[in-house]
Amino acid sequence: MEILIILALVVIVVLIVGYPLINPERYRDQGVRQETLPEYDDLYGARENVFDALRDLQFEFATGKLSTGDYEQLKARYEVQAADILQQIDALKPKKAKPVQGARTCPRCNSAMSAQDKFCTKCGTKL
Amino acid sequence: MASLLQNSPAQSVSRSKSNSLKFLIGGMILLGVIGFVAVNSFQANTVYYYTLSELSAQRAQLSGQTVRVSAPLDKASIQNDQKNLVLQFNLVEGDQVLPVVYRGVAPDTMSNGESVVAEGKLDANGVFQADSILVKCPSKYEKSAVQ
Amino acid sequence: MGNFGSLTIPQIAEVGNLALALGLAVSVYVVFAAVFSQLKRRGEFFASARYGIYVITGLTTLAVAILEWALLTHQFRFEYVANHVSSDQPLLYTISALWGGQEGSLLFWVWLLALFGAVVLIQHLGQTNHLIPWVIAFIAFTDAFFFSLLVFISSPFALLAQTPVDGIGLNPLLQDPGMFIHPVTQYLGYVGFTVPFAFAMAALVTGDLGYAWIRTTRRWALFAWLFLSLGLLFGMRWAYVELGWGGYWGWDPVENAALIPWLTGAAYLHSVMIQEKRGMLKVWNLVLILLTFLLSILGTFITRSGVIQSVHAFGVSSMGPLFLAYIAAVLIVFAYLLYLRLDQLKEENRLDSMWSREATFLLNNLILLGAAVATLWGTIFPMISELLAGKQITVAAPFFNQVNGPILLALVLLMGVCTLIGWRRASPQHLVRNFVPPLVVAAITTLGSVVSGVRDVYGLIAFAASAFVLTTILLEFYRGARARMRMYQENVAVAPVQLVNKNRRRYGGYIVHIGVMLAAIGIVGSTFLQTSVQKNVAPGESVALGPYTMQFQKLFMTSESNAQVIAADLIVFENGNRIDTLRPQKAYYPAADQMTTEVAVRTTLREDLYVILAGWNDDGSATLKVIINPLVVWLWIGFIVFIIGALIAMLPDPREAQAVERVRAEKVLAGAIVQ
Repeated sequence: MEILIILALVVIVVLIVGYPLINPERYRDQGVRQETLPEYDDLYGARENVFDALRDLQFEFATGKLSTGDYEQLKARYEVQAADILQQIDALKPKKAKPVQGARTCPRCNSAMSAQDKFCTKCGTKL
Repeated sequence: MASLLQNSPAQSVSRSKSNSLKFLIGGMILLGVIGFVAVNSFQANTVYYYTLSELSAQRAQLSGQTVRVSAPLDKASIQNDQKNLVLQFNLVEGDQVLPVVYRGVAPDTMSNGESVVAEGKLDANGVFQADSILVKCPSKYEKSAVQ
Repeated sequence: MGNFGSLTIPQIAEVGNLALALGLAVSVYVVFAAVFSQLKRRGEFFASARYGIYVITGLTTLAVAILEWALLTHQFRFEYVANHVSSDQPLLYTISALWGGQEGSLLFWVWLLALFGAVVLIQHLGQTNHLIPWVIAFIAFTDAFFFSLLVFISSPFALLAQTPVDGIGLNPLLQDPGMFIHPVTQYLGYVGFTVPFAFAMAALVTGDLGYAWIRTTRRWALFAWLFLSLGLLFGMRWAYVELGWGGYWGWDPVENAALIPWLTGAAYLHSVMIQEKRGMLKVWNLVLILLTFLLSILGTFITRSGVIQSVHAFGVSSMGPLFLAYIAAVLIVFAYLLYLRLDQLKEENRLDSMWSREATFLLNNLILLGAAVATLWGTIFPMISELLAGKQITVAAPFFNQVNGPILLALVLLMGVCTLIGWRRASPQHLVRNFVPPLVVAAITTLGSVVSGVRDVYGLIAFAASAFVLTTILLEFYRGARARMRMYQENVAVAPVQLVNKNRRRYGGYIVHIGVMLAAIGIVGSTFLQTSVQKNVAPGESVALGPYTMQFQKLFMTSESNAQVIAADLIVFENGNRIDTLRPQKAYYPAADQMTTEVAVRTTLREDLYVILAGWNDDGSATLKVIINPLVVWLWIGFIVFIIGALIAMLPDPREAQAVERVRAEKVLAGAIVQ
């Protein structure tokens, strides 16, 4: 009886762990494929951070922690950075980007956005 | 902290360098202060335990000084006067016996303590007048194994 | 025959041991399979490793179930059961005996880690995150370490030669609701830090050291830190009501072991914000999460290896060398990887100004780390000294107070200054303007404290600092709400709610700060303003302290399931008016031959009246110790506020989710997703 339980436990463990190795084709791509080009990840990450920075600045100014001069200066600098990043993203894009099914785009400038966005992040068109 | 110095090239690099330098200096000063306080306080608060034999050997120098002793407890010798809050017991180590008097509430674990750490002074009669005592039990969080 | 119930105890123990041995084997396999899958780009091995993690979860669950079954049904043949359960022990503490001893708590540790591994996998189900294989490799490596402790050194399923009639029972001191919950929260915290560290290791291995690993583990780190905080709370609460000496913190090695990773964890949570926002401090963050993780491991070791009771247990149990070997292995791999990746860890930004929130965060990091190092040094120095020099030594509590007192005061002040300073740069004239109202409130508080009789200089400084900081934070809420009302035309009721709601991390963080400040007030009050008296009283006599007079009525005895209780009845008068009755007790546990103190506490927002029955005599008189602990309730209130703040900061951020979705949509549109 005890032997049976021990055997059963060992067999179950080996079966579960070994299953993908018996069917390698089904699992071949799991966890080994990089989903996106790494340079995109970096650029998009950097862009979100600059946007965050601009939002922070605006709020910091509104709550009276920044003087008008400092605010304008920092804002101008981050806007330059943002423009630079957006340019690099554009440069990476393939020439003919086809809109993919299901992705929401801005009716005016055709840039992508999330389902919750109320304004286009690129041209500011109200959606 | 060295990583702070590695800024990407941008406008006013020199200014940011000087910022990092300022910060580095400030950080050093801060750590220096913490270190100084720590070392000072550490020396003042680090106490070596005396064993009973060391205590009796250096009795002359140590009388009147605050010292710590750590020794096995003779459970049979415990006398707890609850009314006047006087606790007396003997520490025993080999052939050395040290009577200890402590004025205060006896710890709950006294009766099954194995050894005691006492801090206080040795008086002229060779009795240890303890300011604080710490009872060491077989284990505070573990029970000893069933035999 | 043929049903599970017919198994004998040794057979069941065998099954338990087998589950652990299989767990060890599978963990080792998972490490190799996960690494192999990445090196040879063979997805089937990754899938196999993933299933391995689920299998480990199943096996540990089986082992925990067997041990808990043995505890609940009093199978005293199991050494662990005999040592931690007695037949008259209340059900609650029979359940908690699972984590009441060394073997059980190590099993509990590995069970939690296995569960966390499975949760990480489920969180990333259907996503392609190339960090995950390395993450599970590291988690499995840590699993393997704990399994080997259980398999080779201290098995929870060890059997005694004969079945004793009854067990010894859980240490009576641990038979308290606080001790039921404290180890669970403490371990959730300790184990929780494995996940962010596993991601850090994965980031180092893959070289993907950008925002991904930090963003993915932000909530995990916060989760672990929140539970470390809860562990501290329950531990302190337990010490306060159960140990019966009037305090809640004694700089005991076990307490320090919980505090140190909490300090480095706090430093980490702050400095990752700088990496997220500014792309700075990348190496620093990696080092901080390494320290926090290793200190969690060290905390487990200090609490569970018996090294505190006797340093000589270090070599005897051979658990010490294994812990050291594990820590050394992690350190070496980490250092090597860090060295390889150093050129990828350049800073992307610079400090805009010395007067910026970033600068205050850096200071905060130094201070927290200073406190952690000093406390760690004081904690392990006696062990090192005894082990290497053979000299017994203690580092007395004043050391910790003298070092950490000023450090924490600086930290508190910084909390206020940082609130007044914005990210990137603060404009000096605005800074001065912002400083005025909090300083005024601090001055008024100091004056008020002096008038109401506080003469202690440290107490006054601390109260002034607390008032200063609390005002800055409240002012921050007020200004933020006002800005929202202007910017979005929101009304008075909506603006403050939306303020927190739209930036849960920032304002959750501020709420955490408020909690810390309230707790600080409680700590300062009970440390500097405590008064006490000790007296032997016959029935009818009274003890007086401050405005209170306690009239002793009589002693009486009761018995509980596993203890005999002696209690003293007291009537409490405040300024001559009868306000309450209190009943301090002592309980004697015959099974363990041990006494515990059950204090009686009367809590108000102003102070705790804390009464200990120190002893009794045959003539019916009782010895009472009475302590007034001013403001101590604010410590507990502060913790509750703290927890609420941390939970708010942990909530999913709608803005963050929106950004993630937008980026994804853009990538699809741009053809950046490799199809």
